[in-house]
Amino acid sequence: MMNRPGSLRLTWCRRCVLNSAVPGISFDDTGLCSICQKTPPEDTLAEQRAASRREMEDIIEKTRGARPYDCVVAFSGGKDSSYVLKTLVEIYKLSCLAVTIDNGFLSRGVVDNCKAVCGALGVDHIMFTPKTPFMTAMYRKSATSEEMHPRSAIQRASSICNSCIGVINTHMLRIALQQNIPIIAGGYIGGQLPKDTAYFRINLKANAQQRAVAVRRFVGHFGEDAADYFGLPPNAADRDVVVINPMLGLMLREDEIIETIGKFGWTRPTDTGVTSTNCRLNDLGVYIHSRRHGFHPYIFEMADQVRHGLLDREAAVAKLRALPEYAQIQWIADRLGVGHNEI
Amino acid sequence: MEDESLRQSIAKFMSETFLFEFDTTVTPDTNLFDAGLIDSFGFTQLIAFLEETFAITLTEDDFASDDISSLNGIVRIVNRLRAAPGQLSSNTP
Repeated sequence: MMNRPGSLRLTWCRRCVLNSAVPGISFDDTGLCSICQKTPPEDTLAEQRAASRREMEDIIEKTRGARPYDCVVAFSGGKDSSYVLKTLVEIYKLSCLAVTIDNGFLSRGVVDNCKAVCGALGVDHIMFTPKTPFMTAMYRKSATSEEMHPRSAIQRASSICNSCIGVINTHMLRIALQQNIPIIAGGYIGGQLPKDTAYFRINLKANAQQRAVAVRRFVGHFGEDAADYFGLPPNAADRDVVVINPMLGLMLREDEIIETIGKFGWTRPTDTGVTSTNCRLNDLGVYIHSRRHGFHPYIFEMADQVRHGLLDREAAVAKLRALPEYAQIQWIADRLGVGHNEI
Repeated sequence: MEDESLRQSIAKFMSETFLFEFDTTVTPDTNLFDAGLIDSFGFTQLIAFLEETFAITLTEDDFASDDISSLNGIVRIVNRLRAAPGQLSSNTP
């Protein structure tokens, strides 16, 4: 039987919204979760964010203007990547190439939002659509099994989202390599990734061993086409790429983000559920993850926002409780060929 | 830091971060990538932990070696780097 977020049977952190259903989380005698216990004071965090930002800005200064594009942006058309694109163009004056992956389930409003934001910022934009049979097979497998990702991945996202993120990240890397673009930017926010990934360098030679293992695993799960979507060209090992996640260094409330990008004509889609602003598939992942693991896949990012005063605790709990019903996601399951008994 | 203490420190980080325990199935010699216990995000976290905790800088050769894939191998890498000239002293956790 599932534990709905907000259930009285669970222990909830007195500060954030992590609960006892989440693996790896413990509580002290006062009801504070292990993540909150380890979180440094806000002034220390501010110093860490500033240091991380300085590192990122240093790399930006060194690379800006040397090539036609300084940065490829993983641009979902959602609120966070829209804000990142604005920041990179307006604040850091980078020449950006925005790339959107059409996974077959984008909100009808995403194309309009992409055009509005890229148009206002004067940014080139590419929409890439992977083969539908491959994506369907990947999502179907991800909906019915967790075994293609490490156990710790359940803290980051649903299995469906983790698979999709892998395709997106690899495609951004591929474009960066093909077009000799030195920086890749993502729109990840706190709780989705560790704080120390606001800026990091990917040494592709160093990562080759791990990538080869991952590609073999994905081919085994999703079929031969997975090599095209999770693998890199043979000459990739000669290159380094810098990855930046500017949102991890910013402290913004959702309403501030939406107000800012709203000035470009970005509007919130109404067909993507409570936790996504671009993808209609997301709710299937939320539905499955919540029932399979007993906690919402967005719990870490909401806990992070609550912990840092960016989201009211009550509002976060309300979002975590607003789980989709099967009737709302059945059309997605049907389209993927996934039966109710399989999830 | 003695080998066993070092091993325990790294094993504790792995267990807490990657949500698995070392036992008869996952041993200190298990290839953690082949076993599907660590992915690319995890690898980034692991390297950051090792470099920050032990004040070392891993080299391309370390990344490419088989040692990077298992607990015992990582202990060997850390010990070698800490003994190498030019490396900073350890921040013993």
